[in-house]
Amino acid sequence: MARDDALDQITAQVHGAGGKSRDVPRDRGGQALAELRGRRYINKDKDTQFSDAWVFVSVLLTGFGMALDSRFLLAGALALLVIAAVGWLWNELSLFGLHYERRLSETRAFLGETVELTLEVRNRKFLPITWLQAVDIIPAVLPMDQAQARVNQTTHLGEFTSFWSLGAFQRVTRRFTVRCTERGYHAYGPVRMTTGDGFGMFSRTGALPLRQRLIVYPRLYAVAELRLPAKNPFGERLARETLFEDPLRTAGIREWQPADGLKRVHWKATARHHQMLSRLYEPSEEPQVLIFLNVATLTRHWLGNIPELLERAVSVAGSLAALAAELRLPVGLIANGFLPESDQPLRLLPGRSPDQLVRILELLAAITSFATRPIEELLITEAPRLPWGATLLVVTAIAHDELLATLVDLARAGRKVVLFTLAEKPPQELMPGITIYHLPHLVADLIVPELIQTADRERNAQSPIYRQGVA
Amino acid sequence: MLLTNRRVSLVFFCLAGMEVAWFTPFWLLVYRPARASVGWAYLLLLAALVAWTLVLELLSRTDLELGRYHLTALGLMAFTSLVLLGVALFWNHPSGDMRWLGPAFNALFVPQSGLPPALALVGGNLFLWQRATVATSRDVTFFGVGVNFRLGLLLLVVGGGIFSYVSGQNLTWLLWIYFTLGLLAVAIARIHEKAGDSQSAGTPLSGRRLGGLLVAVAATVGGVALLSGGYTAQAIWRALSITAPVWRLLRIVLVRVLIALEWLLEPILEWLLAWLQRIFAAGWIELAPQSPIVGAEEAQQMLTQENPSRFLELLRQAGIVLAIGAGVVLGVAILLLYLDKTRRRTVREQAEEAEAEAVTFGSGILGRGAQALRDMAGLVRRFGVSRQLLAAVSVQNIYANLCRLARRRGYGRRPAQPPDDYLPTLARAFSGQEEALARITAAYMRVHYGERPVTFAELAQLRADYHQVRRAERSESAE
Repeated sequence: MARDDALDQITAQVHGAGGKSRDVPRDRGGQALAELRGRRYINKDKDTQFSDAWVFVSVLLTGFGMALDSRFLLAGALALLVIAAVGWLWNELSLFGLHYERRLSETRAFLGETVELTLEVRNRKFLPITWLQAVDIIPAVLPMDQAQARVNQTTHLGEFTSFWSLGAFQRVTRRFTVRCTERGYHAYGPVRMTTGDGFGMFSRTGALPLRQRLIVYPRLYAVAELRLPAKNPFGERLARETLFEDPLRTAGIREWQPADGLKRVHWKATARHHQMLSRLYEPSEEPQVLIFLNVATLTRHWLGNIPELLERAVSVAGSLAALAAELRLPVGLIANGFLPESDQPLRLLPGRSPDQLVRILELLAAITSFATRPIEELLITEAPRLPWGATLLVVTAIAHDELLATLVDLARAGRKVVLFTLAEKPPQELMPGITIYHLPHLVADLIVPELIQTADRERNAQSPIYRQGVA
Repeated sequence: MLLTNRRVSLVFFCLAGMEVAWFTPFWLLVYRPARASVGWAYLLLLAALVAWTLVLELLSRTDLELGRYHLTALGLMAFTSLVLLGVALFWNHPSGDMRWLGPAFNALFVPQSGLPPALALVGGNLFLWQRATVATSRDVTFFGVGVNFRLGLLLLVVGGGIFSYVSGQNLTWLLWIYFTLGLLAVAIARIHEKAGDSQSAGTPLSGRRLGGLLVAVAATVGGVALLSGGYTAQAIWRALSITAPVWRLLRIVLVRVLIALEWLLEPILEWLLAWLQRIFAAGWIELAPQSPIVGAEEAQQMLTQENPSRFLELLRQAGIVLAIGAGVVLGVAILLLYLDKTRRRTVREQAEEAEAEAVTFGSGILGRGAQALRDMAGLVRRFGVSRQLLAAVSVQNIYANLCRLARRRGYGRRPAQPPDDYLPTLARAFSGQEEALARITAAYMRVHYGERPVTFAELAQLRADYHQVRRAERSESAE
């Protein structure tokens, strides 16, 4: 009895797989017969109609036609053979001269912008392609105005299936508008193309390693939105300290002063300008800004994460980087995440390059909610390697005790530390030597109204409750 | 559904044409009057099927209740059948004169030899109505259309073959129509299905694409039609006659093989025959009395009494055939086992990963020889061709032998490991011989890396050290 149930379960599973099921007999007699037939169940998903029987019937008809001298049967046999042969040849040539191209109007965009996606298929041969199905891997999280990708439940990748029909030497182009609604490194490709002969006899599949990437930067807040002070937003200790100069780095020239030594004279400039000029050195302790971003949104990693909160923290980090670049301060980024498709940490040291902000935004676009290590550990590891002039901007959605203690230690050690917290409540105790910005207004829409007290019982909330699923 | 989509309408039309194509030969077998013009019969049947399908489609679009819908459909079937009878069999009656209905009913139900034409007409009409009823709810998936195509093709081949054989008419043109419509229907169904499964389909079957498809189908079927002129029984026999020598050779080989088998099996068969003779002679087997059969008595006498050798000969022949059969079965079984084994081995081989290996000759013997020559050249360059060279070579040989002995004891020297680094390992390999080992190592380093030759006294000492190590090693091995 139990064995019968198991058989039924297996049969039901086979029936349920993939929507279009195979006709597997449910009764034991039917199963035994199917076994005797070599397990050849009817496969309704088969998209070709050629089988060995095609040749067998053709030979059989030829035999009967010869025996009966029947032109009708011989013609039928020949038709079966020739049509199968033509279909096979057509199928073999179907992928030849077939070109698939995917173009994005922009490879980088800000949140909320739109990008045009162009799909183009070319058939560069005389033989027409009556049908072509291209399954392109595209990000399912970015909606398209004209169509929408499906999420493959096995691979969890977005698949966009397109159908094409092309004549000889024809090019077909379709355009779609992609709305960049989610930050990230969005991968496109590869594409898998299936085509075949026009008679439905055979089919062929080819894979094209056509990979592209669309980087969607995070949303940037204006200074007014961040509500930072207009003057010295990163604290007062950022004033240039030119007590020590670095003679290896010449920042410019100035007029010679009597106190200048001969080594300081810029002789070439002096000769060119016909006046004594001295070198102007860069300070050895340069003001720098290094943003530490905490990608964790809950105190323990196994508690999960709050994606919306992470987005806000990333946006704050990006906004601070933009602000620092606007103030012409060398800015860098370190986060307890990792680069996409690699195990390398997110670490970009401060720099003055014009592309520095773009690099930081690209790194911020790549950040995922997976934290490689606690932010306090990262601070302790990285702080000794950083120059003393660096100001550490710590951006976090949570301000837990371990982090606060680490920041206090760094401040005591002489580090300039600024904390930007999105937590519901600011640190309860004073933290000497640390500038703290509490930015609850940036996450106000995410916080669910908290029930403090009811008529019959009292409840004290220990942690903020964020509203899930709010963009 | 039939009229909503151009592609679907086309598939329905093709399916109708295919069904009429395979139905026509069967219908012509029972309705002889239409055999005179098979083409017209096909066209009329097709027109009727398309018309009935359209009527039912339009009827289903009305707001009729299901019961009334069925009654209307049945009424239409009866009405069209009567009209068909009147037009086909009672066409000479004046219009408005309905007296032909009586004879028509009689023609349907009065028994006569063969199938009455009236019954064939009404049956054909009802069959068309049945197909029209099914068509309105038909699924036009690729699978469904493909099954229809293949099943219809088999029916057409059977029906057409029988009809051609019976009537002597050539129905090949029906094949071409069937293939044209069938391939078109399958192609459109496939396009329809693939386009339906896609999120972006564009214009799945534009007029231009449909034209291209029609050209491809027409070119293929037309090509087959042209080729079929040469694909006759005579042509095939002529082609096969080219291979006649091969068949003759095979026949000779087969006969020789059979003779060889017979020769091999003859002793066994003779023993078997002798055993059977003993059984029959002993009278262990008694046959039940049989009723007399005409002529059986003579045959029995001929086989058992008058001509016993003939019976034995038959038994012998049967034994040979059985033995050959058993041999063939055994051979086939061995072949299948071999194929299965090969297939499994192939599967295992597919799981392997092959990587390119550096091409060497004799495990790098050439490289090692070249290295030895280079070392020798270096020694000659440093010490010249003199007795010091011989001393240096001797030191190198001593050290090489020492390393070999150590390797044998499990303390091998790593590639490119410096001798002084290897010395502690040597000391562990030959415990208690540290001084001797240190001297040999130091001398080897002097000779190999420096240009300081060893004196003969030093060489004698080194030889003594080496023999001492060897003796110690042998004694330890003996213990």
